[in-house]
Amino acid sequence: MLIRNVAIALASFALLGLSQANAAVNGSHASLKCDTCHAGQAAPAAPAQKTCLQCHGSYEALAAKTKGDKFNPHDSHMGRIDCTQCHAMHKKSHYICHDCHAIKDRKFKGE
Amino acid sequence: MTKTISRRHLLGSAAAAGVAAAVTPAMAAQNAAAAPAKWDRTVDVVVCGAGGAGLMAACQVADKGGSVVVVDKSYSPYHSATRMCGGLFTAYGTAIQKREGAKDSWEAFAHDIMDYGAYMSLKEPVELFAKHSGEAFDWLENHGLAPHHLEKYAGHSNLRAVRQDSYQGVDYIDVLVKQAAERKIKIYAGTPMTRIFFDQKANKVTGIEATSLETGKKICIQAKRGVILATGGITGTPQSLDFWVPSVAGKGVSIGCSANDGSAMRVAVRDVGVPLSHMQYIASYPCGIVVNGRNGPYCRFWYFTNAGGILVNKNGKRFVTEKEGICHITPHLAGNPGGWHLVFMDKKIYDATRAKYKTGALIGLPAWNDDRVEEEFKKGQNLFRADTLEEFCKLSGIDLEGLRAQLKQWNAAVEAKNDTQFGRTDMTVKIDENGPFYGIKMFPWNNLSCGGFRVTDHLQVLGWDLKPVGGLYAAGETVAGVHGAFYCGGNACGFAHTSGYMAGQIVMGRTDV
Repeated sequence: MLIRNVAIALASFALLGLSQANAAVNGSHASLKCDTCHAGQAAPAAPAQKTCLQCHGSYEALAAKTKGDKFNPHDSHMGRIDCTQCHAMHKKSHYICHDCHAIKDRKFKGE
Repeated sequence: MTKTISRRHLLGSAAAAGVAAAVTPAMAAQNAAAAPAKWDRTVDVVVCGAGGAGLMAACQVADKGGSVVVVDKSYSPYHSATRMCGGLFTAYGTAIQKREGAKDSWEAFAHDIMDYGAYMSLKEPVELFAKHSGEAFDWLENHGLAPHHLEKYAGHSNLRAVRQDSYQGVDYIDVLVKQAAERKIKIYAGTPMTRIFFDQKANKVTGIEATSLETGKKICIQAKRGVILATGGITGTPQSLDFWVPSVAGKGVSIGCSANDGSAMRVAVRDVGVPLSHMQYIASYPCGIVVNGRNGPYCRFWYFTNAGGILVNKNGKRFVTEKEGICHITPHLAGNPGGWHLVFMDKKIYDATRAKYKTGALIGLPAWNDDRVEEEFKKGQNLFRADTLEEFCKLSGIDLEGLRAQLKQWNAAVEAKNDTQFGRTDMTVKIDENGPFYGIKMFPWNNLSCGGFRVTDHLQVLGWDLKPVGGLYAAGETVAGVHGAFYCGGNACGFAHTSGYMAGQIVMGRTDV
């Protein structure tokens, strides 16, 4: 479904103070090295959008992939918010559109 | 160590602080440059911001024969405050008012704005808005605006609120995007204004620099006639909202597009030395249901209170008359424990209200459906229901003894038809002390900001010396003091388009304002 299709695995850390040992990674990113998403970070932090797009293509391309009849999470009134506001690799992803809007079938892959 | 501070010392310090405040902007502006090494492009007018105000301004410049470009931090005009609004445009002198025989005057409109805003509005932008709103709305109507109707709206003494039948501001953006495209107006998307070139000696803005967010490439655009700042307000991110508005810092819903973070205003402060005003004033409704930190919809709690519900704080106590105008309730929330309140009722009041209104009307902006409401009741974080008062208080965090006492006091007030706490007069229905009980927890829902640049009656931005800066204009949410201390519905969307309409024409030479 739409949101399942949206489930492009982007990295999120949000694990300040969490050690490497318990920083488990979900899904397709599990095989990546930490530096793929967190290179150059002095302290663990969510990667910037630019980092995600290095592998996942342009924002326009993502918006084209998730175009639907009503809601397109990559082309919303919120603008190009950080990928990690929804996508998480170290915890459950969270579809923020559903915070305000009541949207059916909003689940991420594997959720 | 104790130190005695004399009155003279205090006065001296205050005077020094005043001098510092006056001098600092000029010092900041000394760092500005009159021009870059090379202009990449030259036009008559540069508009910063591609929302309702900015696109309206750009279209007017084009229609007056000027060359114009728009730079925008967002990637689309649909990522704007106008797109998110409820499609209510207040205006005097519209064709629709004439068609429907509505009697009105610009003076009455201006008075309503000032009165609702506790007389903290500034007359220059207010009077410009009141006088010219009709022609701005008619321009939209004459360029294909989707169906709309005139409706009575609280705070407006006359019939002047035009509501889109869709209840969505996207209708205005649809018109402006189409009109801008027809005029071949270039919009640099994802390219915020990052610098203003200011010739301090001549007191004139000469152009801007904008920087692509994707590539970092800078473009310097010379503006022969002027720069219009229509970059939106500060409620787009919780960080910018909290910085400027201490009473809601750290709590409540932050409504806006992420680009509306006030950064363009600060560029103008840095490069031109213009002061900002009214920054602590926002449109804030006391009914945000907080989901995931700072997101969430809006609860029209007055439908529940009109049916017999009451508003209580964490102590279980009422703190205001439920009949108070909703934006006037918001300031009371800051003084409540935790900054929130709850609309409280029994099952019969909840059921009666649900029978009368659709779910999406009770929890709207955006509307929730029955499934979502049920999901939230089960979750028990914002919507609560319980068979007993003890259970209700355990779920909601309300003080049990406080609420029990308040319930008795309220029912006695209903019985005696005398609310000795806050003078409410419409109570006819008691709340059943045996339950079941319902409640919805609410924080401020912060949806637009009312601060920004001081302007003249020609929308020219005032500089550090409180005199107009040549070639610098403001429109939309960046203009300070339109709404004063309290925002009245319809005026933000109306002002955005009207000020854009007028700024575009004024910069091209219109003088009859």
